[in-house]
Amino acid sequence: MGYVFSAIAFALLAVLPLFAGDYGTGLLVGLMGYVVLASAWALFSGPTRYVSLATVAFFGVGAYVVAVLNEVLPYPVVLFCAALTGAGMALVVGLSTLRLAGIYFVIFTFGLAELVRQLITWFEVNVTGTLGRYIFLDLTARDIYWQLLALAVLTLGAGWWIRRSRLGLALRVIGDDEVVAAHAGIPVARTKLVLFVISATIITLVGAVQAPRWVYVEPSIVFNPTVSFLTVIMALLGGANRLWGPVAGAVPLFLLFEWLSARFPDHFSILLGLMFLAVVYALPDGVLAALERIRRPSVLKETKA
Amino acid sequence: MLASTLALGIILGGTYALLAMGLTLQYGIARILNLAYGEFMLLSCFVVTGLFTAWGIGPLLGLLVVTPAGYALGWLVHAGMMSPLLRRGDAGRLEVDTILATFGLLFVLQGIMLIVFGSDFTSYSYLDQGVSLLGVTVAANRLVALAVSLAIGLGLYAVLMRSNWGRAMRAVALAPQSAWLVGIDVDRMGRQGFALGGALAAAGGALVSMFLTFSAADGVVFTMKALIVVIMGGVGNVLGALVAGLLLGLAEVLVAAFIDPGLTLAATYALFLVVLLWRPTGLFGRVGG
Amino acid sequence: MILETQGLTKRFGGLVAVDGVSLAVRPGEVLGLLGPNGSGKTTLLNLISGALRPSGGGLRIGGHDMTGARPDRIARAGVARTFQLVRILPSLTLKENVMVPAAYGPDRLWGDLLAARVRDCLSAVGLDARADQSAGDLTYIDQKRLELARALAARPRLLLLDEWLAGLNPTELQDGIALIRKLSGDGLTIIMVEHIIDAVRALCPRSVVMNSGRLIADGPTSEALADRHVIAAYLGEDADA
Repeated sequence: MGYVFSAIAFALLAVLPLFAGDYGTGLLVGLMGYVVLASAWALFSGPTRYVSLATVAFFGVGAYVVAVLNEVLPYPVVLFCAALTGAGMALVVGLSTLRLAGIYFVIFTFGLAELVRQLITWFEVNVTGTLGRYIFLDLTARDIYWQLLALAVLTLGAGWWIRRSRLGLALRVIGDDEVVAAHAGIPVARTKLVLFVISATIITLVGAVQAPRWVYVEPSIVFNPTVSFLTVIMALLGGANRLWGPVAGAVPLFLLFEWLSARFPDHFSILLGLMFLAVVYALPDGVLAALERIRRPSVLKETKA
Repeated sequence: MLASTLALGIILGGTYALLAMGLTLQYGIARILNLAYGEFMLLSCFVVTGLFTAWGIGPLLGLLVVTPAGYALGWLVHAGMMSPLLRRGDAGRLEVDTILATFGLLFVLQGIMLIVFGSDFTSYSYLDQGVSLLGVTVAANRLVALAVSLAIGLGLYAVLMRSNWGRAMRAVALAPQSAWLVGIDVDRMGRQGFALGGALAAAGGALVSMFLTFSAADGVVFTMKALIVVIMGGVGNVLGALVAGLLLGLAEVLVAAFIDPGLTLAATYALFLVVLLWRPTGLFGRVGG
Repeated sequence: MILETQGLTKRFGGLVAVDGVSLAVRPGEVLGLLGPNGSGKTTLLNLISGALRPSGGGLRIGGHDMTGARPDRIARAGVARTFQLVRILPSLTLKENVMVPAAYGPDRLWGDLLAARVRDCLSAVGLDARADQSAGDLTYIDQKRLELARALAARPRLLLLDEWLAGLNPTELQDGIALIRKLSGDGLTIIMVEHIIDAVRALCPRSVVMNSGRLIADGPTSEALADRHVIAAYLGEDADA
């Protein structure tokens, strides 16, 4: 039943841009981008409780790989290179940081995004001499949307599979108590690393796929830290420990921020801040858990994270 | 060239140390990593600037106004925002919850400052004539800021090491689980530590406003630099923060002078990431002397 | 030998918590690990389970060299443990708690076999009726039971119990002793750190005693407890003279 329903839903989503105008399709591209970002973020950060603020580091690197290679290599190869770069970077970052306590991981990932941006800016200015780059790819907004939709199916599919697999159980144990996890036979470091690499690779691909939308790319555009913050708040608002939680957070928040940034551009950060506070004080397990609690007050104990 | 670079580095580093001292108290004693720390400082920068430009009240007098205000604000934030989280009693989530809450506070404060003060860079002229010191010319305001920073830092260090209150503070930082056994009210100490951190943030803001051009979006950079110093110096370690601050100042100035000014911020982050990986407990260990 | 340590040593800075401990345990034995507080018992257990890396010496489990191995590898080699301060997984259900070592331990079960193993282990400690409850809601005693069920779910060859009987009331203590005796009857090798001497006398034919990180006695429990050095260690150094 669930499969049929999901298949129909995705089919409907796939034909949606055929009926939406240019503005509508543009909106769908942005929306689908955040759906994938938030879902991919939650894949790792939900169960392990490692809050990563490095989303934009990977996202931006993905976009930059496309910007650098788009005129040299065929598009699928460019995407492959982007994924490879993201995975390699995640491997290095993961190997060095996943043994740190959670709080240091947060700070590290925050610094990482800035470091990558500074280094690329410096490299472009001083070595290649071009701060901005152009992307000439024959891709319409619709093409990009479809790619992102495919990535969303892939991400949610991976999330669904992990949840039912041994790996999903291991992740939840790690989120609760790493010492117990290790003593139960779970290779803690490797499990975290695998998930981090999967999550970061998907995030890199989102940046790569969305890159042609900008046409002109420079570090301050693709390494905008707001992307990291929005991803975190979307996943947490919906509930980072549920398969559909990040989607449930990404859709309303994206539309809300889209509407607000058109009407009240100056109030964006206040609103973002209030969202974080709302998640901490009012919806600690996300909207989906709160809805469930309203519907079935008796399960309150069981859904406690 | 080298002498003046070193002098600049030391002066910059002294300011960084002051920046970090409040954060190290908040994190070391109250156990709360306040990501809105830079916004506290920035708020103080704007208030001091306002006092100076509107009524001609100098920043050193302004310092006397904003420091108690910073204490009060820190106290309020702890009582209103952090206590409910501490009372939840879920140690596993507390860390993430306080990070997210102060993160939210960061954006709210930043947004309010953007609306009230606009997004332009702000600065004012105060004691900006050059002073020759050992053959190196530096702006007088930087020297004054450094001297006041050092006075506050060493004063705080003396109080922490010598007074009973300071001993209690250090006990809480060292062993929060057992400090209550010797009659210390850990919760009250936590709140005082957090409030004191707020006061130091305000003092730091007042001092840097004398020589720095700032805008409403700069809070994150302050927080980041303070964090770097705190972690390099060892959490809760006031003297460590002083040394780490000087190191950071020197590193930045040296990179800017001898490698490439464009790499200053990158060097900062790189230094930070290396310290985090190499010695997450800081160059000088945790707490105390 | 199921467990052999040769000169196992652990230093924390200047403090030598475990000092050259050599110990051999045969399959099926129930060994009491005794000693005053701070004598290094829990540290030794942590070295055997891989929670700590030894600073010196060797560790062999089931004949294989495991010196310096990570805890997950030692767990997969058939060693399970409980913790001195109970560590359950609060956000998981009882069933899920017990699933973990069965799915990741030596047997790597999944599907029906896993479900059957989980049922067996929960009913062995009398918690089968509450399999779907959240572990965070259990009382302290039930948390202890759950922790034991979880350790058993790995179907270990060697079980390390760190003061598992502590904090039980007299009735529960009798149940606990009966449970451990039954496990031993099924052929499980057990090392138990325990302060309740009656329980040690009842369960452990052999005991080793530690003091200041060293092994000071190793033999039949009654003899080990009567040893002059052991009495001195428990009563303080003055009695040694």
